[in-house]
Amino acid sequence: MTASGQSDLRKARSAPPLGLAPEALERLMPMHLVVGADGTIEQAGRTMTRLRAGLAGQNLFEAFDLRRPAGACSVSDLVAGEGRLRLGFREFPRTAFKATAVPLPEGGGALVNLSFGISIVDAVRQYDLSAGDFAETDLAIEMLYLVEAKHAVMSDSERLTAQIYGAQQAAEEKAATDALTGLRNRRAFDSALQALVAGGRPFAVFQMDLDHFKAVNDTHGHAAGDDVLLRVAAILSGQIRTGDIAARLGGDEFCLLLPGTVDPGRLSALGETLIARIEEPIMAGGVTCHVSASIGVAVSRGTDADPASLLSRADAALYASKHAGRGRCTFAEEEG
Amino acid sequence: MHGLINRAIQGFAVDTAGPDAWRRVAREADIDPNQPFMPLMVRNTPVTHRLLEATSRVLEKPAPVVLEDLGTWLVAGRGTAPIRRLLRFGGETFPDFLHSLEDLPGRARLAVSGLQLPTIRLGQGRDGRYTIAIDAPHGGYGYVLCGILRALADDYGTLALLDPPPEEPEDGAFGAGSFHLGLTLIDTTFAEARAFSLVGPERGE
Repeated sequence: MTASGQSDLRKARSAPPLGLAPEALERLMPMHLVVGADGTIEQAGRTMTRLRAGLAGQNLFEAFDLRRPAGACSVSDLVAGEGRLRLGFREFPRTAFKATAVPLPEGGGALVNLSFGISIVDAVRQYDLSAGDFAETDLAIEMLYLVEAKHAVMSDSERLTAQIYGAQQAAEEKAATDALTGLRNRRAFDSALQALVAGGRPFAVFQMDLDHFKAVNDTHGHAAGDDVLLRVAAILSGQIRTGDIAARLGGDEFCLLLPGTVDPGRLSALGETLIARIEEPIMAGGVTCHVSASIGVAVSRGTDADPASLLSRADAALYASKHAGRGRCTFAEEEG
Repeated sequence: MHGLINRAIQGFAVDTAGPDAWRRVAREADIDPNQPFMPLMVRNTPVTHRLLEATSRVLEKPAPVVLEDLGTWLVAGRGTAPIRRLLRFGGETFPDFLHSLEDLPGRARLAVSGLQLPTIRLGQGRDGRYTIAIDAPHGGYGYVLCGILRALADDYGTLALLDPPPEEPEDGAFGAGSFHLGLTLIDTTFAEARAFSLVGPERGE
């Protein structure tokens, strides 16, 4: 080929391929590149120029990193097979593209039509693209619309999920709490006891009844009785450690669950302290009340498989306390 | 009726008239004001009608006015930026948007499956005249669309005159039926359009 023949070819190329007017090609494919046989980008669609000014005149393989077909380094590599390309800018931002390359009818060049594929959201943000930068037939805008809609719906449902979760937590807390004293209730106590037994670790149960409580109720009324119960609940809460459980099972019946505390010396010291504190005069409804407490203690070494038998041992010890004159703490016999 | 619609009425009442007004609306409509509407749950239509009627009484405005204000609020309200953005995807200019109105039900369904919006037909006459026909199971949609169109014309910086919407039909604003709306486009560069970019602000994790 002569030198003049080659320059004729260039001229022919800058006139558009396929006999389309340049504006028509622009409108159909604003992200196209016309590449010469030597890899020079001879023409770039307006959106490509928006992404990288001065793209026309550069070598395609220098401006872009070809990931598919891997190792492509010539225009004939691009159009081999179906001409399906994956490529990205070599310089930051390294926007990724999908593209189709087809051979031009003459001169060994190629027409490459690019698209953002899944990188579209980032690309639109980075280059501040608008609807006019896409072909009318491109579904890019619909895709962005869906992304937006998804975000709106998701953030709404996240907010609602948090709201429902909060309400559920509150409901569970309410369902596990004794309304008068704020201690755990029987339901919460039963499930905590089940969990301790299943855990197989040693723990102690305090079963406690108030002494002379009926007299307070009968003499000073239920409001005074409630004040006494509140005071006892405060004493129990003040004496237990994190992880221990204090529950009111009903009436003047209280229970403690003490995971990991099985030393008889410590348990009986705790029992004595509780009784001493409860025996202090209580101001209830404008009068001074005197109550005491009887306690039964049962210890699980971690081998008692049955919560019911543990409770009945604690109960028996409680009755022994009452029988022996109240205001005292009795240990249940060890099982076995 | 879709839960989102009830939610919109709640948001509108709270935003424009305050939480107390909303509690009065809820009480009149016999719903629990503290129970959030499940946005993706389809509720029965009577709840929506009771809500709208109660809003109309509490705000002391006729139902068509409440519905139109609701439409305006959807575009221009404080907490409804996502809706305004989704609508703006309809087109780059207000005329583009008008031409996308017929797609609106399809777009809504793409965003939230189960959200049924009425069929809209756009007619174009001479000199910027448009007619918009709405075929709805509930006539109220037409008034809402009036409010949306007014607010969006502002958003696009377009001067457009909406014919007065039809009077409230005899069976109330919520009866079934078709609804015709006339619109005249005066100037699409009347004022600066509110900024719109195809991608919203980056969301933090």
